[in-house]
Amino acid sequence: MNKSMIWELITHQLTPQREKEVWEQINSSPELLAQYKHMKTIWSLSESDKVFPNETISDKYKAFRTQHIKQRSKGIRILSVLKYAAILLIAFASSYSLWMLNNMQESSYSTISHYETGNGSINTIELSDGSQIWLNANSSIDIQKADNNCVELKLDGEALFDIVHNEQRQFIINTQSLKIEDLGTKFNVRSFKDDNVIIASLIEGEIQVSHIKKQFNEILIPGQQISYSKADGQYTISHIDTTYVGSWKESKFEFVDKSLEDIAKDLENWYGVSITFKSKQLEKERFTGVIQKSTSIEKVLDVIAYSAGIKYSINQINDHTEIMIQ
Amino acid sequence: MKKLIQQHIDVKLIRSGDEGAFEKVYTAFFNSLYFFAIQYVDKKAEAENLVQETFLSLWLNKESISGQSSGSVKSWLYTTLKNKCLNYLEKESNKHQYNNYQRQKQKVDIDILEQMQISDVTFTEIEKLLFEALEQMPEQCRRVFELSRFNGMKNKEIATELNISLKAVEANMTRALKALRIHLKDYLPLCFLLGLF
Repeated sequence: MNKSMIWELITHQLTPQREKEVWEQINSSPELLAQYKHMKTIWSLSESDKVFPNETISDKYKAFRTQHIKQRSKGIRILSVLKYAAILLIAFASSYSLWMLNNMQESSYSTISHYETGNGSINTIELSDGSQIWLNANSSIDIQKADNNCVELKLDGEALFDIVHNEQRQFIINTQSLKIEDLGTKFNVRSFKDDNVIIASLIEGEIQVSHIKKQFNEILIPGQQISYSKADGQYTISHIDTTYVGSWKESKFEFVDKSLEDIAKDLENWYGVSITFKSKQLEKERFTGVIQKSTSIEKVLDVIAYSAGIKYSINQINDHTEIMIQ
Repeated sequence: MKKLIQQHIDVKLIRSGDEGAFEKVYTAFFNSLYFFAIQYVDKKAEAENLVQETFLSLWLNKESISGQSSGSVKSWLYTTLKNKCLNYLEKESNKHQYNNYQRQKQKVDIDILEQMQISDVTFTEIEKLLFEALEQMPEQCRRVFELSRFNGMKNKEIATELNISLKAVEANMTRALKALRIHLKDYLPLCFLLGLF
């Protein structure tokens, strides 16, 4: 084993099979491992490759500037964004910036875009007018319509919307039984198939929430939350503290007076485990706390167990983790 | 010692929120930072996302950048990105989807990043290696190489700039590469030298 072999590993010049063999050798010798670490450090700092041509970077900067730096009134902002619409297409290369509504004047979207997330991942969808959507774990969004006059999408799961208001354009979110229309706004919608309730919480602006069968129609103001029960079709509007609404996008679990039943659902979505309760009584226990999502499930359970005074056990069955709370 | 990094970054302008200066930093370091991130974060979109977050972080925390030299902005960017890569890897290592080999590598990568000390000195050392090699090159050969590597010029542009033929540029480039290869063979891999252009 010599230096050049380590270099070949670091710079990905080996076949997958050979790569593993070389790695085995390095990993079993402290001396080689130290050398590997040193060489990888130098390599990563060496600025050895220019992946993006200058033009691409300058386009990326324009998009970055539009989104984060430029602070003007909304009307002007949207106009100048339209000017850049063609340029923004290039930023599409990154799956994280999913630009749509490009060239709104010419194109009509016949294809439906689909975005989804699995366990433990959050995705961001950015619209070319600066609007942003964060998609929580195990959720999906289907863009059903996107033209100058209307953007319509279907949500299954939970998402936080920060929508730049545009008088000329409708922005509609369809869930299983509710239709939510943005009137310029930041709000969170939670509508998982398995949940009994659909919840929309408004942080800023105004949204209109209506039943798909037109049974009701409500306009929410900031700090209001509508909670719709799928079972009986009843809904309540309550006042909430919006500090923690949508906090899931910050890679933290923030539970504010939340029942263990709801907390368990969040944990199931994030960690891909299943959680059962020994008694119904426990499900109703309420808990408040903040936990980093990078924490292991065991630690999260330890924290909750300690503060809520519960016990839990973990069973590993094949590839699946089952947790029992008692 | 002559600085190999050509872009001069005015830290004062960055602190005061000058957009032009910020754009300069963004375009000067985007590729370098992406190259760093992709060594540890093997998903391209994630790596780019971390780089974007790093620049956003610079913009939001611009007042707190200390130091005077271009190098202090560079160190700040790399340190911030390093921590973001570290957070990412630690989060990933909790997931079940990786095989043994990937897990071991992730663990070692976390070690590398945790131990990595980034300062002006680190870059100076890497520059020094290159500089020493360049020093030993014939004048014309070195200029061709510098224009290509540090000014990002194409062979045609270099020919115009130095008023020599395209053939001469190519020949000098080959000589420069050969000289570098001999000098740096113990430090950097062949593909580093080839990947320069």
